[in-house]
Amino acid sequence: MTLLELEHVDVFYRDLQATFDVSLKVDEGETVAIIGANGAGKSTLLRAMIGLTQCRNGRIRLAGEDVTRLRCDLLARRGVALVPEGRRLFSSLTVEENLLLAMARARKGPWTLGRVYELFPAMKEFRSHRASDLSGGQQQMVAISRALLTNPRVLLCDELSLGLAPKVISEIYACFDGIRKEGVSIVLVEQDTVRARSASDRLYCLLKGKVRLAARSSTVTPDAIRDAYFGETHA
Amino acid sequence: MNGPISSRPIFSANAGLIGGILLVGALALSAVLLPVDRRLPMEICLVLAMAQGWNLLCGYTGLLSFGHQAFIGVGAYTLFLVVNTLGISPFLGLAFSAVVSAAVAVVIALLLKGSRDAYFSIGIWVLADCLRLLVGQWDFVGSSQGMVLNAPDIDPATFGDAVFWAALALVLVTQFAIFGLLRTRFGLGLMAIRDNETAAASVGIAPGRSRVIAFVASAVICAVAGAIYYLSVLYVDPAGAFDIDWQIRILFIVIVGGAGTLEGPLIGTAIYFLLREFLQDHGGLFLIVQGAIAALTMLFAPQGLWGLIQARTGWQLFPTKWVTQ
Amino acid sequence: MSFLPTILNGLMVGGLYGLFGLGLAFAFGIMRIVNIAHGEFIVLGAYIGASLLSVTHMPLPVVIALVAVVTFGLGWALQTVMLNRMIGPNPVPAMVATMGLSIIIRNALVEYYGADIRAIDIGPLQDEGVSIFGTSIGVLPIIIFCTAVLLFVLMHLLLTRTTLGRAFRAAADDFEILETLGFNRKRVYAIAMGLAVTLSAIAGLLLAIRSSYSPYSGVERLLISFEVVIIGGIGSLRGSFLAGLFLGVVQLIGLRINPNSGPLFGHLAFFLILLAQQANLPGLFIRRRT
Repeated sequence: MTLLELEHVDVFYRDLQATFDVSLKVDEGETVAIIGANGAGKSTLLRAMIGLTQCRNGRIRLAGEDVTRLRCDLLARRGVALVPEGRRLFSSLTVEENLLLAMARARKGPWTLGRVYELFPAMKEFRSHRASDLSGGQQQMVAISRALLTNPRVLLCDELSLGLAPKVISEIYACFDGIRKEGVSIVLVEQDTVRARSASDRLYCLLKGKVRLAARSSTVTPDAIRDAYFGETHA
Repeated sequence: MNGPISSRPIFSANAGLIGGILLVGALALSAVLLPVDRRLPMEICLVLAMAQGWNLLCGYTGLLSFGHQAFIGVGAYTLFLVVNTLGISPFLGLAFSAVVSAAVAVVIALLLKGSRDAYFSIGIWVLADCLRLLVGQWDFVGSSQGMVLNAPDIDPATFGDAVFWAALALVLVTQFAIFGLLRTRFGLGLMAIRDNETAAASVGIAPGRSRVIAFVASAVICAVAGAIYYLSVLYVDPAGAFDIDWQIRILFIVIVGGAGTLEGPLIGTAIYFLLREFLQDHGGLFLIVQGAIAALTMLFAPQGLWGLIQARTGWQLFPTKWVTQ
Repeated sequence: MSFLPTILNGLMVGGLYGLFGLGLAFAFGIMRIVNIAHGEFIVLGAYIGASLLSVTHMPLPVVIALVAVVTFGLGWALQTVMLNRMIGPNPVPAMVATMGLSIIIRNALVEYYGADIRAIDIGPLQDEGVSIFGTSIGVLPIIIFCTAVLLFVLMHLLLTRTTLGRAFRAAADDFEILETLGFNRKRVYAIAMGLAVTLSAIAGLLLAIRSSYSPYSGVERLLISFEVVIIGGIGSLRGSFLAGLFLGVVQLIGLRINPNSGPLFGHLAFFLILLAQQANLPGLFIRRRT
């Protein structure tokens, strides 16, 4: 069953059009990757999905309900969560305060403090630290936990791997199996196409704000991805 | 607003001339229509000059000052001091007001050099309050009682007219000097800083220096206007000359008319004095209405009235904008 | 003559100054809004309280609670009706709008109550005193000071122990992310402004009980609040409290030296500290983050 659906969406970043006529869908329990180069419109599209940016044209549906004009906080309470680019933890709060805040307006669901500490056991050790004092990898664990604690139906992840060491990225991605088991849908925005392909069921490739490729991750060829990513055509 | 920015501003000397003729005409008309009592036209000229000076700072550099009453007071007190102690002509004394206020402005600029936005706005307000309290303690200038201008050579028959012409000269010089200034590279630099400081700095405009120049210019204009005003009544006291009400008046005029345009303060001044004439018998109500209009303007037309008109029509009586084609 | 009573009295007034600053810093830290009408809300607290006391003869704590409720509503309404539409990178519209509001409140108070300087009389408690360190201190100032300290403690608990308090601090850090966690930004802001106004109005009422006030007191109180914020830093309860104490002591000593100086000595002390901060010396009460 389709959980999140975008139809012919145009989103603007200030006065510049970031996406053109983008249509995509995410099924329940599915992991969908959105890949593309810098400036392809990926992050702006994610912002539209959670209502931080209003789309100018087109429709967004969540579980069949039209949520195009819904405010961000209401979308969040209907089950959309964001792991933002650059983590964006509340820097003057401790790790645990960051997590408690996420639980305050949370939907009912499987994720509790105990569960996210199970997911990232290391987090327990720095739970009372200020968020600003953490390393990038530690911050990413908190950012993912914070989003999970709202018990989302769809988890939007923006550039999880940005600025992290390869070993840390692997650890972060390793935990996704555990998250998927709870039936949550995941949208992964990535520049790292290899990582995105291996972690997803399907993928969309954006080029200059338009969908250039929509394919099953298991069957799509690296060549097809490369062509869509760079906009080359083998004529 | 799409499309390339034209390489030349669409302003011709003609358009500026229209605004100038309208302004001179209106002021001359008011002078002719009120031949006997020239106090009101004089005050209109002075308040307009103050508003234009403050607008140069707020509208063109984005520094919102709540303390320009400091300069009005400094200008007035300087004039009274030099006239009473040196015995010079009051009109020569205005030059002293300009010089001293410029010096005070430079000192204030140094004191507040690290303060931006609200820090600047209220920092200068505190400074103005300091000056009010200090002058109120200074026995030589009559402390809180104030002082009378001691100028025996004043001829009561012509004095009122002379003061009016001084006020008219000030407002015309102010209007056209700022107009000219804004059309130079310096003026373009000011507007560039207001719109995007980082970008302006990256193309070699020094934001700090430009701001200080605009600040000192606005201070001198307010000081001379304040000096002329208190010259006309021959008496000054700290509670009046350093009164925040001067600042409120200026702020109202610029904000309601439209900050960052040369036409805005003209409209604002007209609204202010019309409102005052209608409501002058209800002092408190007049101020309440003033406050309400300022707040409502921020809610519904933050660009001010002239901003609204300009957005609809593209008119510029004093064209300083580089327009996109 | 000893300065000890002056210093003790300055400390006790200073607790209220700390609250003034806290209210202003609260709105500024969370919403980046400088409420120019802050001083008028402080004075409004005194007028509302005085009216309630004289009309209903209710006990002071009840009056304080009622003033808190009313002024919370006013702050809420201010944010909801006006300031929530002016959120953005440009601070000027909100400052001008609240400047307009301050003119409205000040002159409405003049129209309704008259411009004369008033004092609140709450009966025999006013004249009672106790002896501390050999000097006599009024019981009332001590009670007022303790109330100020209590409000600081309550604010500390609110900010560190409750969801609302965490949401305030989070909103100051990154309001967008707070929205993605399901918080209505404008409602958080409205509550914050309500609290900021409430704190200031209660402090204003308490100050009016131990000194005098008029519709024109707002400007002076706004400037004091601002000085507390600059000296004590934004987002630091302890900083606001200590800065308030400092200004209270400076001001009362100044008034002892020169009874006509008004807030002059406070202003001058403030400028010395501002200069020290600009010279990148450590602030008096805050360690500057570089």
